Amino acid sequence: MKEISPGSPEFAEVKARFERLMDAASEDVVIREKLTEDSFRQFCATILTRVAEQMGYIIHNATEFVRDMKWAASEGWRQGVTKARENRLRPRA
Amino acid sequence: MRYLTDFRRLNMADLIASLMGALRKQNPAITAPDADKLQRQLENEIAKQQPPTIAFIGLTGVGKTSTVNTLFNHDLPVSHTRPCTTLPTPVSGELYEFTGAKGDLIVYDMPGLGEDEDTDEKYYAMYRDILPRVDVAVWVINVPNRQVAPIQQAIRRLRAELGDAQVNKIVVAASMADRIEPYNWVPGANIPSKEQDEHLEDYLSSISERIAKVLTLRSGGIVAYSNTKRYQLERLMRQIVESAPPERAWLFGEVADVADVRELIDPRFLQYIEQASLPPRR
Repeated sequence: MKEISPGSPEFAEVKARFERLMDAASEDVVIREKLTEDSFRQFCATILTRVAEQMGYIIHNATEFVRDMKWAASEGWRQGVTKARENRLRPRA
Repeated sequence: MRYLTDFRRLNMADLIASLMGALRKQNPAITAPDADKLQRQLENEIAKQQPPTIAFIGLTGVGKTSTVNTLFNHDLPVSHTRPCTTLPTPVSGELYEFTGAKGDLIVYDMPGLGEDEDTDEKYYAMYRDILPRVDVAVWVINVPNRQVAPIQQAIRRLRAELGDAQVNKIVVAASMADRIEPYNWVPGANIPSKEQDEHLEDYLSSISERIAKVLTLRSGGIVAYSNTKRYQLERLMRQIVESAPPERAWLFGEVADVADVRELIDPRFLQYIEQASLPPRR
């Protein structure tokens, strides 16, 4: 296939699909970050609750103290996706 | 141009500090020495976690080893493997500890179904044995193979014998997306052509409909990806993390090292996009 350049008739179509793919990949990265952090927090909650109990403490609402309120409100995640899209169009520093 | 968000790895030290702060605030009875002890225990538990364990199932040649490299090792020229001695060796297939760019991974490389009835039965017994030992299993078929009946049957049997929790670890993915007709991958942009996109959509629709009868598909459906073109690798990695047990998923985040698709995009194409995205001059 020949090189696609702005003069190519299919440039607009290729550009649109390319940008959609990059946006989707950025969203996948942001979601993976969230899943990774949520998982780590959950892991910590389980360990801390168990160890605290062995030491004679009862931890109440373990899942509450591990929740990052930013993520819990979903705004942080949405902002992350929006920021990823903005970064797509911003030149690398 | 960035065009793709860079994955931010966990800042564990900061996270642990903030968790301990929140814990003490909500549980003021915990003394300072006890809080220190709690934190040390937590850090010990983190350090002694077994590496993430993943099974790749598929016929020879579908790209299982390449997939391990492009997801966990993309900066290293060769994969460093050694026999795994900490887990039982499967009857067939290969088990190895893999040292990727960011950390260790335990990989079960297992043969796929559909070549012979007798070996299929033997391989099925292996899946039944291995599935409870892994965090995630990725079942790979290669585009444009549409023979999913053996996979359907195996998943149905595994669900009946092992239960939903084990089967829900399975991610089905289609490798070699760039090899779909009419073989005219767009150079420069490094994306499928419009015709390839349409054929991929049709292909994925066909196999998804059948796989969905036996397995709940991940968000985004079955991923068609390419190791050679680094196409849709972030989607596949996301589905792997989604499928892992909730308290183990973070380990995949730690060792993931997904090959960067941007390295295969022609800088001139990126310049064209940049220029086309600028507002028109007055």
